[in-house]
Amino acid sequence: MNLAAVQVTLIYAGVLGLMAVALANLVLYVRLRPTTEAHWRADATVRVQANFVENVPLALVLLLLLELAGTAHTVLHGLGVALVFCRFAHAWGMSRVAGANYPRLIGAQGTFLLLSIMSVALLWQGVSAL
Amino acid sequence: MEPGLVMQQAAQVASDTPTINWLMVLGLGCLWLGGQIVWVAPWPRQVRRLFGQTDVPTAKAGTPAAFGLFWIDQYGWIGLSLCGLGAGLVIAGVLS
Repeated sequence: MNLAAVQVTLIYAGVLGLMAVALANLVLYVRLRPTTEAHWRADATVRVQANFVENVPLALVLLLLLELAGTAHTVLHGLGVALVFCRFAHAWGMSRVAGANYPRLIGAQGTFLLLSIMSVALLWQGVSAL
Repeated sequence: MEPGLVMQQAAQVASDTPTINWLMVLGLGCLWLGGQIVWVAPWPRQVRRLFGQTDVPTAKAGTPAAFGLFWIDQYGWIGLSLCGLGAGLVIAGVLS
């Protein structure tokens, strides 16, 4: 495969891969400081990483397929930036405040919305090509 | 691979790719998520009162229970808003 043909996905896969490593280490950071970190943060950091692992690989696969299908780079960058923003908002919100908060809500629901939009776009392309 | 060949392949992919109606795609995506939120969350209490329901839960202002009710109401409104936005975008996509 010529990787230059999927250059947009490469960028966001790289950024989100680095973020995955950082979130995994954040879990360890909190676990190693049980006396100085707030008690709720241990579960919260694990949930941030779990939610990231549940959603981001699928989102990147959808982004890759959209790019392979010839979607405009402007659209792909818009989706990629929005995905990074949503994951950052979710991690930031859950790491700072216990319980419900707006960054967490925006991050989680924003990711679901992006997954829905990318999936519908792929369905559209697939059905149109029949 | 030579850059010229890459461009030729990219042009071939672009010419083979069906045109996407992004208004429709955005609208259907919003409807998909909004519909599920409406399915998951109870209707906002304001809407339930509007339709005459009297046994709407309440809580003393400033308590965690009140915050919980506010948050669930808000979630319901997000679902309804996404459904409305999605329907509007689909209609705009059909008309475009």
